[in-house]
Amino acid sequence: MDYKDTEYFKVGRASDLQGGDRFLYRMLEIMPGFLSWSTILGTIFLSAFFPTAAAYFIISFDLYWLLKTAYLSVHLRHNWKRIKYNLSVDWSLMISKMKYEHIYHMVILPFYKEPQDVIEESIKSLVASQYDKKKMIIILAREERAGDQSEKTAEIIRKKYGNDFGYFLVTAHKEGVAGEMAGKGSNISFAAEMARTEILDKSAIPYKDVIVSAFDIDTVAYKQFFLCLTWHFLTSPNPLKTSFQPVPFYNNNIWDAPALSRVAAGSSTFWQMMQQERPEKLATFSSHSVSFQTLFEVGYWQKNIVSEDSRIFWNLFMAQNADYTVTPLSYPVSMDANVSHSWWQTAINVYKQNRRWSWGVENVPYLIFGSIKNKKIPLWKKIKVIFVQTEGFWSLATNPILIFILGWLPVILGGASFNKTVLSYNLPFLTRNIMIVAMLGLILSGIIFISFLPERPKHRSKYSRILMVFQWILVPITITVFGAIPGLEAQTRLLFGKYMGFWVTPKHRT
Amino acid sequence: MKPLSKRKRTVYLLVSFLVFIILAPFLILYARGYRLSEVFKLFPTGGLYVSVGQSGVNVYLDDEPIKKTNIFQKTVFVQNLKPSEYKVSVSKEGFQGWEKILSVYPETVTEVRPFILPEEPILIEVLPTIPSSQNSTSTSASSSVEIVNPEYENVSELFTKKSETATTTNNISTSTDKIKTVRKFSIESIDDSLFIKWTGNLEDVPAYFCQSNICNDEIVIKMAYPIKKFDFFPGRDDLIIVGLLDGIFVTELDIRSKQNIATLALGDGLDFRVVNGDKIYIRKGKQFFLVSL
Repeated sequence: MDYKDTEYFKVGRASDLQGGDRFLYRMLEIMPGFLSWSTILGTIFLSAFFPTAAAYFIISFDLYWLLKTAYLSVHLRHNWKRIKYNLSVDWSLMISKMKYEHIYHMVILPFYKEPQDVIEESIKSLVASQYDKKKMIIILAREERAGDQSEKTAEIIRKKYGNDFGYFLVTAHKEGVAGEMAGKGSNISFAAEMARTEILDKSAIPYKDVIVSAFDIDTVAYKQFFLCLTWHFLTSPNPLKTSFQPVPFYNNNIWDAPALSRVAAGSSTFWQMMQQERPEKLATFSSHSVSFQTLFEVGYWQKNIVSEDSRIFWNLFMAQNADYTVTPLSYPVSMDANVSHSWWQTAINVYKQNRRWSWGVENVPYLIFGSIKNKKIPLWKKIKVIFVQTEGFWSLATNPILIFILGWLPVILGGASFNKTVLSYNLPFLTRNIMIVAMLGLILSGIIFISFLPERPKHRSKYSRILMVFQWILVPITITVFGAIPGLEAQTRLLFGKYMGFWVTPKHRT
Repeated sequence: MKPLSKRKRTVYLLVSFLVFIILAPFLILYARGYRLSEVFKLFPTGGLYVSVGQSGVNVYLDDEPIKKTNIFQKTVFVQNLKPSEYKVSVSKEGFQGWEKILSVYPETVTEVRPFILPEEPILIEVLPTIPSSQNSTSTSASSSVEIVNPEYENVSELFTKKSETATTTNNISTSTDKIKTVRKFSIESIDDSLFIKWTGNLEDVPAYFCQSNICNDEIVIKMAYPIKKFDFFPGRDDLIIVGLLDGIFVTELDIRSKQNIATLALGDGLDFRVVNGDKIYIRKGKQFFLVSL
């Protein structure tokens, strides 16, 4: 039996399983939070009872973090160059020597109660994009529970832009379907199936010729995105065994976002840029593209979880017995940075969005469980992928806390005899100095960030550009408050079985 | 344009790994106080932490100026010192000098809290009465009326008590003229000596109870004359005010070398009281003075 036909292929949580499998999955859900809390509490314990050992650990960890920062910066810099290059290339010329007319692009735009202008901006970018519009299938996927207003909005959009594309379909996902969670996964899966029966089958379009792009409602495609995607699809050695990942920029409203939101958004972009140069560590995130054929074979995205964007990659990875990859496009799509009516509300939204992203940790038990069950995956591949994913979530939740908060702990808890040592005196200075050197890397962040900024709107002063560089000194705060803490909260929730629901990030334009 | 090649990435990773393997032990040894000699041999060093608590004070190490404290930094940390004995001295214009010979041990920071008092401490007389100005409603001139100074009455009462039980610092303490217990210190005066006992854990004993890294829980301070009265100096548990035949002095408890003794007031028959752990009053005959700190 193929893995995709097993009862646990689309498991959402431990309670979906029975007996020993349920127990095993529950233990795996506990593991990430257990690892992170053990690290933090272990450091506190060491600091209080073995301060010298704690100091050695902290110094070594500071050095590890500095080297890791430098190592990742090299990747960031290279990807920066690559994106700039890819944005300068004329993809229509690149693709002109290929036979590509048979390729269709299906774009799924799920929405809930977002205002019309947000949807319109995304649709306009599709209208302006360079690709034969007759070969573009736009699915505006609304939620029935969003009510009449969303139906009216969808109808307005359909009337206004429906004729610009070969196919335009508005779908309405029903509420409360058994086994489904209210969220993006259930909506876009329903939309994809509707598109299959209503468009692909009726127009006899082969599934393997359709590339599906699962966008967010605020995703704005750059002009040559679909040409670039088609080129990568056609040049891929096995286009049905890979997903395609663009780089998420948060430029739509970046000039109106407060500094903390800009830094949090920019950090997320930079992380994706680094991962683009490390494709073996890359899983799909947010807006991504995949062959319809591939998607259809696994029954589309999971409907019973929050992080369907990355889970689809792990579904396909398991279904294809680890013979599945992500192809980094190093080409951007633009989305909204968090902006709300007040600074405080924006901060709360940034926190909630990061917590939802961090909930991607629910893929760790899925991945390990699948690795145990799927005997067709080579052992070394299992070990590698489990280590990479577990280490990633562990780092996210613990490293900033270890670096910025716990570095001083042995001095505080170590007692009088430790406080008389040269080591105790040097620990805070050494930690601070290593941090300062590591922070020099932020200069690169500032330069890269402004190089991708959209044109400054007239209502923003020219000095606000300078702020876009200096804002990066907020990184120690943002990676702790909007990185580690929501990450730890997500892992703790999973540890205690307090599963999260899908939180829709409000889209607010000034 | 191609992604970063696997080969390059492996090289970067290996270089980072090597740097870590080489640097981590080096950094740990550095943090512990180890330094490289001219012949590339590792040797341990120690440090000195001088907590002055005042700005504008010059700190010297073996008579070499190290630093002048300022409003932001009233402490001096010197490290990379070879284990040995060092003379630490501090000076400030118009203040009495302070110096101490201190041992520096490997991987250890020797802490010291110098104290400096003005060469001539300012004594403000507490008068029995104080003028109270009132505006007359019938004339434009103001008339001066003397009223009883409540502070004088309080101070006078303090000095008439022979012994007392009082709260002298933030912590509850009991005190008589001969025995005092404050926080984890118990001090007894017998003739010309003070016997100071540390009542807490020996592990937490203050550094100034230790000589050559050997700590005792009791130290003895010997004065030139019999001690009439003693009390803790306001805000410090390492300084004692002692009343002797020829005046009132401040001595440190630190036994690591000869104690520094500073003069607070000179004269026969002086007496003093410390009130609420923050004020020192001195009696000269029938006069009372507040010491300006």
